[in-house]
Amino acid sequence: MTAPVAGDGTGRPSTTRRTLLRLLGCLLGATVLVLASSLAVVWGTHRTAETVRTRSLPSVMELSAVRTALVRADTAAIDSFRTGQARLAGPGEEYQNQIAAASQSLAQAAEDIGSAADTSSRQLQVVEGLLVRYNDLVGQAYAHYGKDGRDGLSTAYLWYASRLLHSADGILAQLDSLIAAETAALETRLSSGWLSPAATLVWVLPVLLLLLLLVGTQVFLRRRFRRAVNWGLATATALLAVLAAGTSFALVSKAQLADAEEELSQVRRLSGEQFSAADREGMSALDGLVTEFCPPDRGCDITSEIFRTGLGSAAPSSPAPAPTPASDRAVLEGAQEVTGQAAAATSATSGAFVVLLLASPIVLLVWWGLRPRIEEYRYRSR
Amino acid sequence: MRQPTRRTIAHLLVLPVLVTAVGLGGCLGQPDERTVTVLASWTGAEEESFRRVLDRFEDEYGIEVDYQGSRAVRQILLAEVQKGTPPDVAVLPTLSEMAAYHRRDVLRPLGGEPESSMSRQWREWAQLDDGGELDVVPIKADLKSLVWYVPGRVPFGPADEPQSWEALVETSRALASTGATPWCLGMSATPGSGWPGTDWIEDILLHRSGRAAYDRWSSGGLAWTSPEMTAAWTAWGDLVNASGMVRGGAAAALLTEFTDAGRPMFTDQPGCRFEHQASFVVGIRDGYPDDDRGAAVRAADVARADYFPFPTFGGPEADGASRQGSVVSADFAGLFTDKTAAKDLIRFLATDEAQAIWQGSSAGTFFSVNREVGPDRPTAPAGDDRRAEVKWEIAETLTAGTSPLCLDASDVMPTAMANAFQHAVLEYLQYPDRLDALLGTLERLRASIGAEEWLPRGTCSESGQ
Repeated sequence: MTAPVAGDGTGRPSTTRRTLLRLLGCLLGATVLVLASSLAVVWGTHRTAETVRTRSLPSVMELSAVRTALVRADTAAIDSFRTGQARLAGPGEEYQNQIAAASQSLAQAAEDIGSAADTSSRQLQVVEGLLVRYNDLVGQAYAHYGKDGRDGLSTAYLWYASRLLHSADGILAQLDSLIAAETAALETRLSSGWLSPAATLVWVLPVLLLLLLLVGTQVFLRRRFRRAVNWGLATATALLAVLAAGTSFALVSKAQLADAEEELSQVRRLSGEQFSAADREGMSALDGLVTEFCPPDRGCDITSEIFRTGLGSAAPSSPAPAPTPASDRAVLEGAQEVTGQAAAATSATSGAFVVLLLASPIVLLVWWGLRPRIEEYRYRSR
Repeated sequence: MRQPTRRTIAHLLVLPVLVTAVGLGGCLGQPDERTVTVLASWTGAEEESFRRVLDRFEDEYGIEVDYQGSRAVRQILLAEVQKGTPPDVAVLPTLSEMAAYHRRDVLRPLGGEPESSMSRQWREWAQLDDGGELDVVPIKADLKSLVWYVPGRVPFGPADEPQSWEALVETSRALASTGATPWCLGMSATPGSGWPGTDWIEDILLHRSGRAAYDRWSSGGLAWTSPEMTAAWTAWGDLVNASGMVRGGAAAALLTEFTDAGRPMFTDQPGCRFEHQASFVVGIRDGYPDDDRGAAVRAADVARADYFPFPTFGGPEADGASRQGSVVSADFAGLFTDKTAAKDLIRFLATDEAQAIWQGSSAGTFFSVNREVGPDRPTAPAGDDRRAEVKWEIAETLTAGTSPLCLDASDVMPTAMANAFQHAVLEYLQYPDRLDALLGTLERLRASIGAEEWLPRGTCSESGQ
């Protein structure tokens, strides 16, 4: 290699060395920026994915489960009174099981939501309080049934319990409002912060900048020193590509979370169908009980009207489509799919951490690639 | 003149910086101080109306209000108190629960008297001990002891309304004998079914045995098995359990929602003629004409609806005036933290300004306890639309102090007693022959409740400002 010679021999600092030092500074700065921004994006995405996996998705699923369990419990209790099983078994084993399931899901939802979400947390307290009252009313219905068989008072208490469940600000309405709030919070989480489209620019722009600098420096070195390739910078460029690929796992994670949300909508739809079927069945049965005790032509037309309005298009006498084991399985499979997608999303970001770790030597490679050239010009003026 | 030294100049420069820093620190360090949390039962249109009051407070004081409305206000408050995170202000209709929080020292002092034209009797109720200061603030009231009817659908005119219980029973029997059902009745209410029946028992006791007996009973001093109580239950049972007296009989009464009970008064073929209900029913009825469930309601009859006060046994002159009076209920606001902003809010809610805003935004279905806030007296003749006149009369009764008022006994009894009372009313309606057993059960419960859980004084006030 022909070493460049200072033209005027005055010993002024070499412009090539200055250029090299500037390039080194820019490359190191850009590398740190790339590593920091990529780490931030991967870390932020990971944390959001974890929150969605462990809190947002389960809370919506748990609340939907509470809703279905309560309607099934109500239907089971009414059925027990209608068929006369209540004489021996009270509201029945199915009622007890569904209430236990609802209570467990409610407790789990409370844990998922936590105390940070103040409004939701308070609303859960409302549901818990009303559920105690609901249980008390069903208990009263049984207490009166025990004494006199199925009488007006036990029917009335079942009616009060069912009203508490179905009325405009009753338990189910509170749960619906909670589910809506949690779903909205989930959607916000999936479209803002580290998962927003703008967050992609946070790491893509520094990567492009570093890539530009690496390629530019490579070209400069080739022209200035007539070297085909600077292997240090070339390896750094390759690692940058690996890092970009790793960081793009954040996009994969985001897509998987979106899939999980879509699957959740499907689960909610299936759960809603189950809910409606159980609801129709229970309301028809209760309407039968109420009508038997107090026919519409004897002053109960308003009461009966409320039921018919609540039933919507389904006639009370029409046989309610019972939830089949297949639809139960579908809900279960759907829930597993949601959990799986969410787990895959967090795994993707975990993998990205490893890639970031592997790509971190870019700094050393840049230093290793440029240092010999800078050393060459330590005592030269051009 | 001495020139300021460099040190003096430095001090002068540093001082404003320090002041600003301390000020900012105060603002940034305690953000909660500028936000007040409020818990009450109002939702829907009632919440909208209450929020207008809160909006004015926010504008005037620069304090943010975080409001939560829920029918389960009692359960939420209890849970939050037990967690140690109560709201700053809570509004409850049950004075007994406020008194319980006061005994446990959970309720905080208001720290000053609100500027309000609240009459003397309301001030007395708002004092939960003998300290002479208000412990809670009544911010909304309702008048009970009302019997509603539609003129022209009953066999008497506004000038000759039944003046005694006996006359009312006689009129009811006369109607029933012609095949017209006299009474509308609905016991179903979410979440506490049965309270419309407890209102009946309270009114009958007050107007049959007088305020002294009502006072003793509501403060735990009169046995449920006493002759006064037995007679009150029997009088109600004789009326509503007699054949043809109640629309649909006991079965329909148990299953009908209290909000729907009065609807048949306003249909083309009236299903019933009288409804015993509190003043808030005025707001409920406004929604009947647009509600397409059941037979169509005549809006003109809703506007014509009138009331007469619950009649006294033996007539208005019986036993002097000791049996006269009206049962009232109220929502009481209490302070659960010592936050200055919360004290500001609770005092503001009691002012005539706040109460007037509330009244203006509630289409006249809000009634204040403040003397200066009632609706203006209609100047034009009432004509067929009685609503303005009716609202004015209710407001007058609540605030003028011309007739004695008694707080709803169910709202001042210990909660367990009030709940048992509601259940007993439902059972009595279905099984009148179980009265002795029911009263015996209620009495055993009363005897098991400690004296400290009852309000220390009676709940009836004498008339006068």
